[in-house]
Amino acid sequence: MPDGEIISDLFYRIKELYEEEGGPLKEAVTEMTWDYGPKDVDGKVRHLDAHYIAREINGYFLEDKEIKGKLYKKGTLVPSFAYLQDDGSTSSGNWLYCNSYTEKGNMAARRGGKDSSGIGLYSEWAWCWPVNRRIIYNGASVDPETGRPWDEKHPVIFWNGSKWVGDVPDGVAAPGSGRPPFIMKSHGVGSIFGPGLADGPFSEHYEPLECPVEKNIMSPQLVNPTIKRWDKEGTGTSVDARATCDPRFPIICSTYRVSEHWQTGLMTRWCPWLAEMQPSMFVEIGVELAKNKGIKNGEIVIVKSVRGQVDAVAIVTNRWKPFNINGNTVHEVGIPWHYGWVTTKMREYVHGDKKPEVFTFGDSANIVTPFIGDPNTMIPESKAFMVNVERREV
Amino acid sequence: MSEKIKLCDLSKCTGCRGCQLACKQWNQLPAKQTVNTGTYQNPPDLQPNTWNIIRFQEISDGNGGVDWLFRHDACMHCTDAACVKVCPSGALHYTKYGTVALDSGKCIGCKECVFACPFEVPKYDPETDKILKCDMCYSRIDNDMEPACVKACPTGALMFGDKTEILKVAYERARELGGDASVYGDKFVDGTHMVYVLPEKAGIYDKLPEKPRVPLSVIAWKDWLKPLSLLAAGGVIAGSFLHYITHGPKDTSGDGDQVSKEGGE
Ligand code: SF4
Ligand code: SF4
Ligand code: SF4
Repeated sequence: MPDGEIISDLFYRIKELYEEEGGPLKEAVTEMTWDYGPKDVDGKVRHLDAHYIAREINGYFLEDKEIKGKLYKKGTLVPSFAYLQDDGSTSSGNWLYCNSYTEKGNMAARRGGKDSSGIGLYSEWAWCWPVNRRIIYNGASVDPETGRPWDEKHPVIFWNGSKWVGDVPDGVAAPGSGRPPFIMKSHGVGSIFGPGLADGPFSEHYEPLECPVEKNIMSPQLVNPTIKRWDKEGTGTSVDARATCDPRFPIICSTYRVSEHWQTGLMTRWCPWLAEMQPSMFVEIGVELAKNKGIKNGEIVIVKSVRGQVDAVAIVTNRWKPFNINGNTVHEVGIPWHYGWVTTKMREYVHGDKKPEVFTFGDSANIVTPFIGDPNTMIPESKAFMVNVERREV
Repeated sequence: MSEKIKLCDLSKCTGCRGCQLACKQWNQLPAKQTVNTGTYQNPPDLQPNTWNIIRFQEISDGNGGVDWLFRHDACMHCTDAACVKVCPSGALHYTKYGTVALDSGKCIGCKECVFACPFEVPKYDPETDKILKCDMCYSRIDNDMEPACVKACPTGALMFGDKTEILKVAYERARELGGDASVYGDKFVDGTHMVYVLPEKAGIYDKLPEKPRVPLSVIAWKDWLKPLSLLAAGGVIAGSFLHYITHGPKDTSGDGDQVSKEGGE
């Protein structure tokens, strides 16, 4: 069943539950418009039609409306986002997509092969947001005073004396009018640092939130004061715990990918050829650390942080070397983060469950990684945290 | 028809294994259950369902320096191929490109080639009672396409083309790399149709013999005794064995060829 049909089915069932049992603000569900396709006699959508959804995302006029001297009839599609109104007379699922499905049809289905731009924009092939502008901030490609392209041989847009020619112009009124090209940035200019960014502009060394040292030997500030964290007093759960300079977790751990799997591996682990090449969670351990711990290459060990633990096959390697940090030897290990229970052999498969052709071994690295957000991007700090590695008692 | 060869420049290989997967995809070879045994290398060896693998190998220089070697391992497509020599059914045969292809229908599962190949390439599949190995993507090269592994290689480590041209590239590259770098494959069994540029000393790569040896039995039976049995000239046989005793087994690194030629006369 396609995802859309599942959602539609879910909607009707949830709606029924609300109608039977009630609940706070039940009208948000019971009165919801749901007309994404031709309906049966019982009023339910028989088959979900993606075009109905695409049109709703573009947006309709909800009543007759005159804009710039032109009358738009109730029920017609809004031609582009400049026509969206703040008085309830228009709808749109996402303003960026307004113009993607108009009275002219589904713009994304266009297959025009002409390239009048000469630089490969192919503006009549499919559609792109916003308003089919192929290169955003293209105003930056011209001299703001004269409208002449910086690269005259490959103009994205240019001013022909009375109007802009080329791509759909962005951020430029007539040349010389002073409007900056980066219209979505508060200062109108491109920047590596500015409003909206919590951290920067210069790089600085901070220790990770979980680290093996009590002092930042580069500066008095140990960890980045602007990081996003959830481990404040009285908040968070056990997965938000952290253990810095904690003798129980003396080893640095980093996570990374292998070329055979993508992200959490949820898609690639099902591909037998890929699972065959990288079938298992592993931990790469330097020769010296493995010797200290009595760990042999190929045996299953436990990688443990204050938040949880995972089993992994030990790859004992000369490629991992201990650090010398301010005179102390600190070891580091590394784990990939592509694994998870859903493709393992141990999992309980009930009737009808798809089984992978090649099983994988091991759990998600997210069980041990910390939840700390980079101040600008919210990327979690899963590249550096503290663990211990132990032999499995047999 | 000009001879074609595959060049494998190990100095450019990143170990991505695009080649290993592309081979399985083009040839529709199934995956089998594997386990991690403490290495990235998987499956652990060539198999009936795995015709090329990347071998992962770490070498240390003794001073803390470490190198991670990746070697694309597949059939070498020998010119004087031991497998073809011993194959009694004609399943293994030379193609017009000089490569060694396999006609599975003819294979009788005798495993002669498994023991004869100096690179341990042909693998026996008990399920079908046949051997399987890389055929240099005959279905592709005969349609003007490069082998699937070469097509997939994102770094240019694998190249395919006319023998003379590709060998030129190989020698030039080895020269450019300098040090211990060398070209491997051109100097024995009358030259192979997979040729390596080895950035490290030839002897250190796992499962890549510095001087590949074809088992004596192969040479004895196919090059000496078979032709001689036709001649039935006892004196010559004795002479040949004397030659063996004085020269030792076939040495494929150069003058070995002469041994077999002399023996066959
Ligand atoms: S490498 Fe082995 S299988 Fe390949 S052609 Fe040479 S002898 Fe035959
Ligand atoms: S040449 Fe073809 S059959 Fe041989 S290893 Fe490459 S992809 Fe596989
Ligand atoms: S595809 Fe190329 S780079 Fe990747 S492993 Fe194979 S030979 Fe090396």
